[in-house]
Amino acid sequence: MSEPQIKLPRQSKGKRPYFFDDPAIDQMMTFLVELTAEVSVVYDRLDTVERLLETKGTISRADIEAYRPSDAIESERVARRDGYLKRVFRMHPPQATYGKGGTTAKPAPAKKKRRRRRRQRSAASG
Amino acid sequence: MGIVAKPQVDHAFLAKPSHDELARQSYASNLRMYTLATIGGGMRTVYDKRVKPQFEKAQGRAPKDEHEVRKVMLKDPYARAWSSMMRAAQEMVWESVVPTVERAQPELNNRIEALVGKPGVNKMGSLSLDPSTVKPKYATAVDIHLMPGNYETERTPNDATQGAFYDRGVYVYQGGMGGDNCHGIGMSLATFIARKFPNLKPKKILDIGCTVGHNLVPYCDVFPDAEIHGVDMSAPVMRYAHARAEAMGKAVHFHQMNAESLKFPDNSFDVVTSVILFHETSRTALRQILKECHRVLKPGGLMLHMELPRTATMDPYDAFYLDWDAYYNNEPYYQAYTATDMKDVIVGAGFAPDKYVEYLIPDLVWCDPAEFDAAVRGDLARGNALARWGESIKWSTYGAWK
Ligand SMILES: C[S@@+](CC[C@H](N)C(=O)[O-])C[C@H]1O[C@@H](n2cnc3c(N)ncnc32)[C@H](O)[C@@H]1O
Repeated sequence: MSEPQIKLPRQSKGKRPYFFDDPAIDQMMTFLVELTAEVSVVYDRLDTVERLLETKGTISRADIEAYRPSDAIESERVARRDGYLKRVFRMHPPQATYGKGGTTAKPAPAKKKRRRRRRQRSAASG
Repeated sequence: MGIVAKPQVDHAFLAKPSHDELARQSYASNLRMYTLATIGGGMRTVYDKRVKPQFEKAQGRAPKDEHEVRKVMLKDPYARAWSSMMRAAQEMVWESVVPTVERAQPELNNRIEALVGKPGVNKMGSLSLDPSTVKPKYATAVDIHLMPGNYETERTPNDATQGAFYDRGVYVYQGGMGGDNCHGIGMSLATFIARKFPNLKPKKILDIGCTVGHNLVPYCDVFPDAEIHGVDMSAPVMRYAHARAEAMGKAVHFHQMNAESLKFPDNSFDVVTSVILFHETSRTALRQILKECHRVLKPGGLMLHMELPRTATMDPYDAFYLDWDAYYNNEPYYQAYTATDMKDVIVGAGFAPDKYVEYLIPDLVWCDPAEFDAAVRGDLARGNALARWGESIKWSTYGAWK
């Protein structure tokens, strides 16, 4: 007997926290992190193709699908992903204070004030 | 360079990723480890160099506890970026496993049902389900560590999906660091008990909150002569646990039960354990579960619970760092556990104060054998509280003799 296809929820129950003042930045972080995953998947697939071609003249999609990296090859991939992570997620070095030119040099204003400012701004524009 | 873990050991019920799904899952593991270890490592520098001095300048003193540290740290751009990445990486771990599990089901459910339901199928262990089992609110209010659907979601009467999801997801989450069967903690705990108390020779062992049995199955190898039992309140993970143990050729008896009201008679077991359960229970439940452990334990038996390090006694920064999960990774009871005096609650559950024990157990997958020997002898240095898998991680255990 065939059963209905099971669908898993994509989201977990519970409020999602945001870390930046503007939740849009957290949203962008999700986009970015997911995009890095896609690039890494493409790279692994390319690596599979290259390795298969090294041993065979022609290959099929089925060959690619069936390929699983050995421990030695996976360790090369882990090293490559590690370098990739280092390059993409290049954190600004933790330093005591920020240099000139940034808006974050000063501590973020208290919440109340910001709200008032926004109200003023929307009053000005509307 | 990142540590390369062994691939997850295959078994008949493991949901098998396609080529690209495997690539995505491997990346999710690497990303999580990189965020945690490398970027997370920089958090301490941010705190020491920037956040703490600023706090001291403004307040004339250092932050007094992890709550104060958290408040100021999460205003810092580095800590915000790290937190935002950590959250996204954790979500990716589960997300990367979803298509694999959806494809494997419902065929897996049917095969598991055939194994569970068929009389005459030669089985080593057993499964007993009790649909009347009360599922406490603390365990179901949120999806713990962000696993969509949590442990208990059941979509069909034979559903084991959440078990399959957990089995693969935990491996990806651990990046294989918990062992190629996600079995490292259980193996460490069982081996420690066997070596430290060679005369105990348990005949019956119970593990509570065992989920899919990752850390229970190793008991079969360490105690080949013992009868091994595991309980969990969630039916889907119990069904899957049973199928998985049978597929691995291990004799385990799984029972769907609430650990707050076990259905076993008094004085039934020589050893009662749990592995990373308490930080997912409320404080009231913890007390009740400990009473039940005491009740089902035979006189002269040993109770030992393995848990995450308790942050109450730690440096405020370390405590903040470890408590991050409690706040942002859906671990709502982590904090309550962390602030609990284990001796106090264990004695409160009926154990004699002089029978209380606590041990630090090095992780057998990663430690130097000499370190494990030292732990068995009882002269192990405390070490780094923030150590992770792949480093010299040590598991905190608390318990008592009855
Ligand atoms: C973090 S998991 C434990 C992991 C498991 N011990 C292992 O080592 O793989 C927590 C488990 O405890 C179960 N649980 C929570 N509260 C429970 C209760 N009161 N009675 C029985 N099981 C409970 C949940 O269903 C979940 O499967």
